[in-house]
Amino acid sequence: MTNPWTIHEAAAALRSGETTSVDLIRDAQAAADRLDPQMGTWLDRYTDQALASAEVADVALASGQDRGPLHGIPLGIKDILSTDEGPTTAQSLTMDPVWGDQGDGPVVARLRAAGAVIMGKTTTMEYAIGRPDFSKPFPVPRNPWNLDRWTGGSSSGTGNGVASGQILGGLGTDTGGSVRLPAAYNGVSGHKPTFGLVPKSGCVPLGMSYDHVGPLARSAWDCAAMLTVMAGADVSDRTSVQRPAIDYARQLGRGFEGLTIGVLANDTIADGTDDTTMAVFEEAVEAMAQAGAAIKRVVVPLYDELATGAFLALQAEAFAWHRDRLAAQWSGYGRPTRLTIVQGALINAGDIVQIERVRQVARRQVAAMVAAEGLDVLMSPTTGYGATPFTGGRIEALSIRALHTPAWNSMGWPALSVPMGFDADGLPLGLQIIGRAFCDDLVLAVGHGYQQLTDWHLRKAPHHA
Amino acid sequence: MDDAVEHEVIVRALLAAAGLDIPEDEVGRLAQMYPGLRRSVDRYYDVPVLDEVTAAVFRADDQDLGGER
Repeated sequence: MTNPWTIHEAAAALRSGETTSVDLIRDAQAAADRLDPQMGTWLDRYTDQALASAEVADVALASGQDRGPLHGIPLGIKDILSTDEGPTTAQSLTMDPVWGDQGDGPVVARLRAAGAVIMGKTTTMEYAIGRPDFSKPFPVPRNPWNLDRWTGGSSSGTGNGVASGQILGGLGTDTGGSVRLPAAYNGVSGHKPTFGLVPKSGCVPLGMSYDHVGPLARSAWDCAAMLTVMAGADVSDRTSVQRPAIDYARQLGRGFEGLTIGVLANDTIADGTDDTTMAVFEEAVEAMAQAGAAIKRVVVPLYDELATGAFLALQAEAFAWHRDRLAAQWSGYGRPTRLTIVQGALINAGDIVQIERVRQVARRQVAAMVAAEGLDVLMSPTTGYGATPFTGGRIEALSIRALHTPAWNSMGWPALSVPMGFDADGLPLGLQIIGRAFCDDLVLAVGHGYQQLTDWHLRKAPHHA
Repeated sequence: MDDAVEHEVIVRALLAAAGLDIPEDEVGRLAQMYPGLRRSVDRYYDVPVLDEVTAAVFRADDQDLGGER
């Protein structure tokens, strides 16, 4: 058979005997051998361990021990999450290698227990913040749709790894959009879960009250299958919340009848989005309206405060973690990273208290608006523009105003990015679907429903296995 | 003191208070960024917030800390 395109397809092929986990892993490793030198996907590859895990997965499946849809599936792990196989670098020269000695964090352990095969550690931006940095001895991840374009960050290697067919899924982290942005720019799906649904221990922190661990994969179905395994409280993370277990992949068939979608009509969205992206977004909304959804245009209260507050507060939270490292190893950090994090020192304690108080007010107002309007989900473009070039590029596309993701980190609400088309340069664009807290099942169901109407998520990048 | 000099003085003081001694060109860059950062933060004081709204929710009976009997 041809290589499976999604986790869903691969899981079926494994059970029909059309392929084995060892075949999947060997194909993925061959793809990485060929593509990684150009793509900058990997910081470390666990070649032998992955093959050994695949052999175990095949024996287990043959003997009737089926651990579910991730059994035998190749996944990548952003190198900001600790794993048993090796150190965690956070793509920084300043990261203490001892930190990674803790081994698998709870989410990686859960994926492994579900039979997933860990292929290695994927590239990020240094400490999940900053910009592509050619001055440091780490790969710079490139976009499989155009190698002169960025992947978006900071879950860059997981995003371009899925888009280029080197892995079928993987983990990212999202503090201001770092799962959804690479999902959008690379033409794949990425889900930021509700804050607290997925424990984040074992993750190098950036903004402790804004960080989320989430899946990237080709489809909403694949993200749902991963989230089913990832979700659930763990004692190591006191912000994690115990909720009734849900098989998210079994909750996807609701369709659009009876669904009310709130389309963000805030000026910030329009101002930070180019005409092509907005036209593509409106086509996506129209497709869902044609399928039976009711559409309302809504202004999200205190949206700008929520969005800007995420960046301001995460800088302060990041500075709290990095202060002593910055003092001791300033030049070891990349310039974009250190100049971003150090801004946390320029914000005073009263400022942070006020930003967080406004965050509480905004969260209540947004929840009240969604309830009053009877909205099931909200929608916007994930970003205002397609992936930006490494040099040059439109200044407005590089602005944080072009990123429509961080408000939902402040809210802690679930947000999924799915491909919705292409810009004038042939680069993918993302549709962001947002739900109320712990309504991840509905968000994923809407994303899956859209992917039953369209095939944007199945388009193949020019640089692909 | 003109604004640019004042911003640089403030940035130097805040960096020093945090124990950071960084290259001159980066102090200059942060001093350039500082007014914009300050404007972004000051907007939050314009939002009406009730007196009882706190930045973090503190509960003395937090069970995880063994505080509840």
